[in-house]
Amino acid sequence: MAGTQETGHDGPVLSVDALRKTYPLPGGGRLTAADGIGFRVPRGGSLGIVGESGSGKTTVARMLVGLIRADSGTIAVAGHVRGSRPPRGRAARLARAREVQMVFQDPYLSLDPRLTGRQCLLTALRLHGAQAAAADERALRLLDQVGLGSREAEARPHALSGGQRQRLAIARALAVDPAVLVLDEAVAALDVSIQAQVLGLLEEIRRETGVALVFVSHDLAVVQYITDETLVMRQGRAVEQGPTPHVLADPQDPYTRALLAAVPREGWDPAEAVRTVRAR
Amino acid sequence: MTTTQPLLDIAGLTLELPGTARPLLAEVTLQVRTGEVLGLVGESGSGKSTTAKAALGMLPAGGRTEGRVTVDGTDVLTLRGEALRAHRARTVAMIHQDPRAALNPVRRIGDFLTERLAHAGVTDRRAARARAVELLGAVGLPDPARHVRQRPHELSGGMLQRVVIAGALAAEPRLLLADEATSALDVTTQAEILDLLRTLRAERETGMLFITHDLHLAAAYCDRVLVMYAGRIVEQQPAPALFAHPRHPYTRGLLGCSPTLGGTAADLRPVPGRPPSLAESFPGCPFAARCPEAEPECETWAPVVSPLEPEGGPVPNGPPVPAGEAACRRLPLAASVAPATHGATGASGASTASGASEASAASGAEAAR
Ligand SMILES: Nc1ncnc2c1ncn2[C@@H]1O[C@H](COP(=O)(O)OP(=O)(O)OP(=O)(O)O)[C@@H](O)[C@H]1O
Ligand code: SF4
Ligand SMILES: [Mg+2]
Repeated sequence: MAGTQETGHDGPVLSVDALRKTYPLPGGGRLTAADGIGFRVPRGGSLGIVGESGSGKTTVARMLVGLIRADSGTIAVAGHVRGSRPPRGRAARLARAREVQMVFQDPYLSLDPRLTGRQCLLTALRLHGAQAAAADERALRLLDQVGLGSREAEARPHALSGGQRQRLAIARALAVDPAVLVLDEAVAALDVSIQAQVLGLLEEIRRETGVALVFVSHDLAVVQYITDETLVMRQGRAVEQGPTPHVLADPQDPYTRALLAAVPREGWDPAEAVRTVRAR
Repeated sequence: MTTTQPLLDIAGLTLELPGTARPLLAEVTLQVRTGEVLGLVGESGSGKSTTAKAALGMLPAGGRTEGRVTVDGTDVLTLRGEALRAHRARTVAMIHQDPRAALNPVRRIGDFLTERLAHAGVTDRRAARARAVELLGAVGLPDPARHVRQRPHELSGGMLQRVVIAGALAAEPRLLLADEATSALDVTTQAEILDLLRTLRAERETGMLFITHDLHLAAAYCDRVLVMYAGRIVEQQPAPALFAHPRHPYTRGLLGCSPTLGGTAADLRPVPGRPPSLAESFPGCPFAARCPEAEPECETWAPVVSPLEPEGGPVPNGPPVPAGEAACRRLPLAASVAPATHGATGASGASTASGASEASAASGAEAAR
């Protein structure tokens, strides 16, 4: 089984401080998509980022991977601050790729339709400098790790189910042995049976490899299964953060209370939920 | 049974399309009564939307259909031309997941509503305008007079879903079909829309077929819930009973893998395998390959839906609703089949089924590989 890179660093794998991002508004002025976001995730730890649509979750996720550049603030992986400029040269690119990898909601869009599962992983492995023989072996091990069999290994994305595609996307993200895996609504589109399988897989992977997870989701019930800490975002700001069981059992912020009250469950009354939401 | 005829009555509906290995719908039977919310749950491809479309008389062309669909006494599948258009415009209304898909982006909200009203017979322009404003108020939009002049991009997803609901109400339909109507919304907005739909139902006594993949939502919102798998109904019970005592192994599997607030990772038990496609056919019970309780006989057992004994025996002064039904050969024969052995079959049978689940769990998982 793969082991996440040992860094010799004892502090948190991921340290984020005072992250800020604004976008220009059409009528002038700027929209603050994220502001003052900071957190730590230890090796093998897992942080959930929750909030309504438009609260800034995906903006934070994209800054972590480097898809968008923060206006200010720092992101450090294993004590090493991630630069805002793209890395130069193969070694620097690999080093950066090994810091943070991302899995999206719709794996279909991020997978090359022409490549079989095995080819997809081989491509990722070779891109990052693995020798042919070693890459072959590692690809098979990754497929096995995410529970894809030999049939799926030789299938192209269109011939895989949603859950299988998501497993492949996770395997590809793990190919470079990243220190941090960011998942943005990665199980939102899956059927509950498949969603539970993927959640179980992620749990297993973080136990076995020590990869740190950042799990972005609008679904509080899902977040609770997979995270140690939760950060609740509203209008770009963290309104509450702390150990997941505490945040869910004893929410301090009215917005967190509203989010929780709105989750349907037995005996739930939407009218009462609406009152809590309006009172926030 | 009851004296009032059901609003929606689907009886033995089977639908086969050329080039598929199994029917899209197989012997689907269900009823929605006036003022009732019937939940329809099941994983992707189980046939939920197709069932709802049947009530609109919108089954895929080129298929072979068996069975009957009646809405308010009208045989829907034989409707043609003007009668079918009137049925879709007035008697039944559908609310989909994505409100943006239902609204023309370049047209004003008011035009969308007056058009719906015209279909419903309100042709006087001034009357239609006034009614449009009224409808927007009825669905809780803050500033109806302004919203009628706005275009879809000026409103949020939750507001647009209210507009779509206003459009659905334009003709005062007897039956609402809500197909994942709140799935694309934030939980807080979802609560608002559900609150609205519940109020409207109470005021107007419409019946509702409520499709969702969220079991906890179905539990909280519906009166009765029906579970579909591979085009078949595998279980139906009043909502509280279904969630307190799910009987079919698939229902229990779905509940076991549905995230619950307050649950822990250990409680989440994935169902092995995945929902079947139309290319897969089954000589016996369609769930056999994934069922932790399957026995060799299940592979050849043709599924039949049988009545269930209510947990704890019949309810003395309860409402005249059928207690429930399920299609699993390992569940006990129900009251109507063997009236003399009521309580005994119910209790002992349930414990046999759950006891067997541990013993055969390993073989079930293997079968799914
Ligand atoms: N017009 C059609 N022609 C061919 N196949 C169809 C047609 N409509 C639906 N199907 C197929 O029938 C099956 C049932 O589809 P349906 O849309 O009813 O499922 P569903 O339960 O609503 O799923 P979901 O939860 O994904 O919405 C699926 O396999 C689907 O691909
Ligand atoms: S026990 Fe047999 S009949 Fe019942 S659901 Fe499982 S496979 Fe089907
Ligand atoms: Mg559907």
